Amino acid sequence: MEYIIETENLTKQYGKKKALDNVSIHVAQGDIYGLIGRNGAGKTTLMKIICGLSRQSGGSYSIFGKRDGELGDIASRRGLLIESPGIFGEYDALTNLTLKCRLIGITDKEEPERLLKMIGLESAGKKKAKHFSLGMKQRLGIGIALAGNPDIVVLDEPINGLDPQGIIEIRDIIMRLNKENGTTFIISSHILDELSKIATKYGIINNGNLIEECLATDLNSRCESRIELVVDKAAAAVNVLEKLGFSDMKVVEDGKIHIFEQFDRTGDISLALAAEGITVFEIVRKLESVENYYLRLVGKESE
Amino acid sequence: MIRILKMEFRRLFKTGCFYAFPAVLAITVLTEWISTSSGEKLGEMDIVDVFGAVFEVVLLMTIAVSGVLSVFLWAQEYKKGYIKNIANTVSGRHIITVARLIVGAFIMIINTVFTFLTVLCIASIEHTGIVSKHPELVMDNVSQLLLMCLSGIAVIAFVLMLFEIFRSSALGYTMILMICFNFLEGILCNIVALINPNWEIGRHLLISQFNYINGIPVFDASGEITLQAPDPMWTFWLRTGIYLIVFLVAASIVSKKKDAV
Repeated sequence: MEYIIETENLTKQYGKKKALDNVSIHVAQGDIYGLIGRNGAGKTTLMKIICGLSRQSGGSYSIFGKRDGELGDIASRRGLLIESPGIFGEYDALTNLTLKCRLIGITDKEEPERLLKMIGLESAGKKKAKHFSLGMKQRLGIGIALAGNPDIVVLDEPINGLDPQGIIEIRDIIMRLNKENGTTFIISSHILDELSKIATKYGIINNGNLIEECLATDLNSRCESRIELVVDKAAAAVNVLEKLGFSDMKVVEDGKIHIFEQFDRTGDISLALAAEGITVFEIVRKLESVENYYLRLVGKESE
Repeated sequence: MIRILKMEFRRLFKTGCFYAFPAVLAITVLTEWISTSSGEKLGEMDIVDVFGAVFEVVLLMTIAVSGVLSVFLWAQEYKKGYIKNIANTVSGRHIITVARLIVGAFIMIINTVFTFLTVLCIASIEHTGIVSKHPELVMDNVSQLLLMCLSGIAVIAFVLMLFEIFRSSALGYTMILMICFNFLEGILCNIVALINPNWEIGRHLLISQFNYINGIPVFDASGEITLQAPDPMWTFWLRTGIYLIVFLVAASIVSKKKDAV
């Protein structure tokens, strides 16, 4: 498979400390790649290297098949928001967006205005960016990152400081651009439940190491999400479940069955068991959050 | 490169500080005109003397102002985090360095032009007319003014190199002022003279070289100072050009090796 972004044993060392240690990620076109890790894990360092802000100590990366140092015009097809938004406080939002558009060669005056509307800052008017609230600055930073419809957008904690409505709006923007334009996103966030709503792939980093990289669908199955079923006749219930098409299940103790697939079929299960005269004492859907899975994984890594 | 230059120039023209120096010069001319409008004017002034007055101002003030403004613009990009947006869009960090120097050179050239025009205007206001009594010297003076402008650009390149190494705006401002007021080069000359009193490096430095442009002062047997024939003009141009290229290349190399943030 061809990847739009690929890193190969990427390493970054600051003195004796390794901020990244042989990290190899694979981001396909159209992915919304969620980077998960605790503070200081190496997420921002990885993002900085991919965006050309920092030089790696070892390894390499490629974007659209071009290695670092040979990117040429491809470099301008990246948008970023890393750590704080890079904005000039003495200018208003429109001027900041216009400067970014000029930087990437866009002279159309409608583009900054379109971006301003997209990020919901049309009402800011001539207000200087230094007087913006944190959320407004964050929105402006996102707008700058999205200028020129880049093919790759790297967002480091994009929803920091945003109100709930702002979070929804940014999520909708990301989903829309991903769906309509095929824009590839790399997003890091500490709010894993929010990230889990949009991410299609995850990279979990801990202490500079990539400890896991998987598709969102695979992560869901690894999250030990399950349907917990308590019945009076477990053996008969298993036969009924097999006829319904369930195969990934386990009888954990007398009368208690755990099912690890098709979590949306609790209704079918109840009806089928009742039809066979099997009493269902309890049927509960337990979905382990990405957060719990991450904590469990990092906890194991620490051991 | 063109895109970055467009952005940098747009930012420059939106920066209020850029207009401060020309505004001060314009006010100087205006106040001079008001104060002498009712007074008696002096006789005619030779254009060579106008250049002489310009040379002093260009060396001390224009390079200092241009250098400080350049450092300010670079420092703002790091302070505001905007360098992330810039560094992300280029495939080579040296492009940013070259663009910075081009903008710095533009500032230096514009300020030099304004300085010359200001002195010329004041001279015109104070005198009954500007004449050319020694036309054979006019081109020499124009050449010297252009050389000073180039030296100013080389000073900005030197400070750019230091800025890329240390990323310190305070150091940049200090160095600019120390160079323009001849402290830095003076210290260098003294250090070299301590090592060997016969080594005279002043004529090979960016700002001090202008002390030798009309002749090389030497002490004769009686202790009197006489002027020897100066080095050919092209040596000044070559020296200044080499300084400029060396500093720019060094700055580019450093910028490629260091992280942008």
